[in-house]
Amino acid sequence: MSTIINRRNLFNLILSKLKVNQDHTDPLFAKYSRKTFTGRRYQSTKITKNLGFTDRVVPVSSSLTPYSGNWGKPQVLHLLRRTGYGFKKADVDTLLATNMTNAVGTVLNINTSAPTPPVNSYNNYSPDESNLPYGADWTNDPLPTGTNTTNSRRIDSLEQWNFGLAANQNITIKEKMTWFWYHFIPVDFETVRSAPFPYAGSNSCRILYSYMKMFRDNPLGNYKTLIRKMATQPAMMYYLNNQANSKTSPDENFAREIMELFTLGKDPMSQYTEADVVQAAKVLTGWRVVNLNTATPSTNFDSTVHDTSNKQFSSFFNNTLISNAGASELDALIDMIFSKSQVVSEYICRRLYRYFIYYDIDATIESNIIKPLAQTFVANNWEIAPVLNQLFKSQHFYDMANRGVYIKSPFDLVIGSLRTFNLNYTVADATNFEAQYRVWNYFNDTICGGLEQTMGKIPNVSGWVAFYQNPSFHEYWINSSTTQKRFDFLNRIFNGYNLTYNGLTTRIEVDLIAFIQQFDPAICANPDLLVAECIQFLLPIDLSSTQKDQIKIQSLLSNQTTNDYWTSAWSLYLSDTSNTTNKNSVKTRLKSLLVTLTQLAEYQLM
Amino acid sequence: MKRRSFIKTSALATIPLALNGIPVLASSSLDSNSLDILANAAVNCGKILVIIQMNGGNDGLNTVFPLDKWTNLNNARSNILMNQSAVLPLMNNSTTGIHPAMSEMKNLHDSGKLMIVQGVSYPNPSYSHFRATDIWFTASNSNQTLDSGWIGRSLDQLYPNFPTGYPNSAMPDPLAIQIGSTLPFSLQGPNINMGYNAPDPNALLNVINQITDPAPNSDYGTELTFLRLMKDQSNVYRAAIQKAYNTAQSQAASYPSANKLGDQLKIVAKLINGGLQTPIYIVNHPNTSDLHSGQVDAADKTKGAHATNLSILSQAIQAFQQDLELMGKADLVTGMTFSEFGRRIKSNGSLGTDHGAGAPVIFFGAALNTGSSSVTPENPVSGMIGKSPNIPLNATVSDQIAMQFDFRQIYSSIMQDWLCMSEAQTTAVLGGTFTKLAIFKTATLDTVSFENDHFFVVYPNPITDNTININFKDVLNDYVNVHIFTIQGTKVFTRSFRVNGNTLQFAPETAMAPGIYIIELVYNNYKFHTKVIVS
Repeated sequence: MSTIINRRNLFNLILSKLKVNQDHTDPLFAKYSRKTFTGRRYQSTKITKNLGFTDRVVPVSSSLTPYSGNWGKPQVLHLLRRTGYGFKKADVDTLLATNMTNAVGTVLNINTSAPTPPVNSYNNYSPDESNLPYGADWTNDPLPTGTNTTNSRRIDSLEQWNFGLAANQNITIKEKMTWFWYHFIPVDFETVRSAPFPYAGSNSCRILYSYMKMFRDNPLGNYKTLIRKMATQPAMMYYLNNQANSKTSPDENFAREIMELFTLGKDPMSQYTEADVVQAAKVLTGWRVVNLNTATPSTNFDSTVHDTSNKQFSSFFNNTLISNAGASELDALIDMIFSKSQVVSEYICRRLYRYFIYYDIDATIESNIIKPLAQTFVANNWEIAPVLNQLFKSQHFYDMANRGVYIKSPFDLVIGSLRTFNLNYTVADATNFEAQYRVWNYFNDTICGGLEQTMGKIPNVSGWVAFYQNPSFHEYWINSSTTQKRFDFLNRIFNGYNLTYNGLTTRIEVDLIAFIQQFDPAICANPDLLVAECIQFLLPIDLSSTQKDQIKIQSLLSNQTTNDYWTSAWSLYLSDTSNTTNKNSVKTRLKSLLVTLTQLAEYQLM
Repeated sequence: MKRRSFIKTSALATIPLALNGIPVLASSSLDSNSLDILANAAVNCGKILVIIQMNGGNDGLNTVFPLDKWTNLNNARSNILMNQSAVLPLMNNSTTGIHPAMSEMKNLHDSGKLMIVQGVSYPNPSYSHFRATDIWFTASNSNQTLDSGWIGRSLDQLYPNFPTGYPNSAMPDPLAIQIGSTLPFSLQGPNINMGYNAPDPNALLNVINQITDPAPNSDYGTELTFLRLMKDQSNVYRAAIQKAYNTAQSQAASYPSANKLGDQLKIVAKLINGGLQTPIYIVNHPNTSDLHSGQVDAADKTKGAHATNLSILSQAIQAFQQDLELMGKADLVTGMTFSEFGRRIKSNGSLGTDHGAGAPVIFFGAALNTGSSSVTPENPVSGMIGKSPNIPLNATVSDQIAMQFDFRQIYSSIMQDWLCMSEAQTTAVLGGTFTKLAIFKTATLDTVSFENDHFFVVYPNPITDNTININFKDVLNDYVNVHIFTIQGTKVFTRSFRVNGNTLQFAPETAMAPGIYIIELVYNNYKFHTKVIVS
């Protein structure tokens, strides 16, 4: 506790620990990213500094007026892609069978009961140091001193378990929203584990679990309530050093970020001052995580380290004065921040917009979407659900101008492909916890990690650059290295490979025939319909009829021109599905079709 | 050391051979394992195969005509058969002529640059496009299903573990290039498709010229363009392809206009000219060969859809061959056309033909085994392997062109005589042994020969008792061809032996007269000579 990590050192520490590509010096990226996107602002036009709007390529004038157009597969797929990681055919059918209002209701109707907690999956190769049995829930098991190895294993298992939850998501927005909160108010698991605070090394696994549980408990709930909870969450106390903040030795790290990143933002309308940060840090003194090595860790208020002086805020906060009131000063601070309701509501609406719609917020979108959406947010007393409800039901959400513009995040690409192609990421034996967790680890750490997004690892407190970094936002996912890895991953799931852990082999290979048999039999038999259906399923925007025809001929027809060749091969297969020759005949051609579609740049968009 | 494991590490080994010239053996490498030298020689074989696929089942009898069976042919297909006088005769070949739309290919034949292999098929042929295509691609038996292609397996033998560790200094270029937006099944290796596909000629040009097809003018189009560029530009093979493509060609052939096959071959030629080491290129004929109707024009049977197809083929090949000659690389490239099957002897009532069995496979290039020296009792006609097909006097709908050669014999010949693969590797790829055909001029390999004793020694020397003992420097367990020449160059003995271990002993049937002889061993397409004395 004697070591005080200032903000700069903390950032350097995080950056040096994570070899995330933070220097965007990739020459290809520099050449092709939207570098002309200079100084786009997402604030009100009243602020004149940093003018330089770059408008959307085609003006987008649609508003939050409820969408009243056709409700068909393109709309359903758009809703599912943006609110979940990929989709299942059954989800499409479910939403197609109802109307837009009910569909959005379904997506937002989340189950907040806690999932089965993470377990000891590591015992076989790293025996639990407190003798917790293999397969047992570790989330209520405090670890004795000197159990740093087991704590690390449990953190690994927490990351893996998180991936499993996302991969096994249902039709609702729950998982995607959980990771919205995680990227928006993040804690890096490794930074918390190695924080210079009591029992971080031996008992941080449970506070990290609690932190994630906070998001999943109520991902569409009240934002202000969440901020209050987050402020004293042990993991955040350790991550942003409020644990070290005292009257004699203030640490402004959390005070700054709660304003700059978590509520007010740094947009031009957000005019809090450096002095405000100093005052807020004083308010935040006194909170201490205690009993971390017991079954009931908590964050208590210790008045002996609290700064009891008056905290005078600037005119931006209407010269608010917070005088000594102990623990309740934190509530007063949050009330004061949220009193800047326009700034807070517009800031978080922009963050939601960038996460769910597109990064490019021009003046029209600012006034047509962000401002009214922010008003809804405030009118509903900081409830998130009404905001998303309005957004997902709007004309603007379904506007063609917003379709296919979103570069899939690694989670979107990997989890989406796993789910949409029904890949076998659940091991055959549910009691082989090690095998299951290591399969999840493979996708989270090896595959998504290679694409620069990993659950539990965040490059810094600002989150993943693709969601906040001007000028290129989502394009930052794409560089020379990640581009190749994205297409390699897609290639490999069609060629197939085995993951063998703890004696159990899990085959990762798209079942081509099962994939198309999700569609109507008449579609499977007709190569034109089949190509069209696969394109609609896999790509955000339809291809030209010439291109569709070319793909059909080169894949399903083996360069023949008559549709009947596919149709007969398919019916021959159906006539005796045990005939491997006929089966291979259709599999080869389906593989060609699906590999071709997923290797298109279009597949990276949604 | 196994050859395979040697190749794996070849990037670390010294390169003992220049690609296209005199062996360069540094003194330090003389101590190295002689088989390793050979193995590396094969890696740097430097030969290129260009495959032209005629999709749909090309009518062999309306491509290569059996002039000696004209009456029978006319009985079977008078409604589509042109006048015999319209058929182009082939030089020194009284039985066979080719379609008048293929005058360029006739000229190639007459100058020794074209080879027809007659009656290529396989037992129990399939008449299904899909199945037959898969059989040709995978080199399977008719009743067998394989899930990888013959070229993919061949490349896996030559370049193990692809794509891990590729590109590398030993193989900086794509293993195979397909012009088209999908990768063919033939390139599917055991684990991954070995090919690099260039979406279509224009798109490849676009890639090379750093532009892409216009994306829509929208935010979607903006992001799509960004992703396309990043994808194309970050491709590990892009720089190599671009460099090869942009290498200046002092003199280039002019390709036929409005000929999509010619467009594809022109790109292939530019890449070859630029020194790309890619051994396999695959292009597709743009039109279908599946002509159940309208194969010929009723009014002029030398015209019609089939004539158009053959003309596209012939003009494109001629330009490509000329291009290769102008760039001085004709010896390195062989082309092969194939179709998944031929067509029925008997025509149908719609001026077309239905799916059939055997058909000719046509090779072109400067390295073919043609000319007077190629003529043997087994192959009496230069430029043609096999005989003019048998046609029954009154063919019925069930009569088919009989198989003279299994298509896997062709693959076997390509692998061993062209792509420098060993017999053992070929057997591994094909799952069996298929007798090679004399498609390639082995003389083209003369540039690489070794007159040293690092591969083998003959003992005792002088030879006594007409018994020749050869001791190899390493365990071989493979086939070698042995030729013995007099000092004047007359071949007095030739035979293929299977060497088990590192010794070989044999006695020529005809006792060798005392004198000086040259023993030539051909292994892995490289020739080794040593002088011996018979006392």
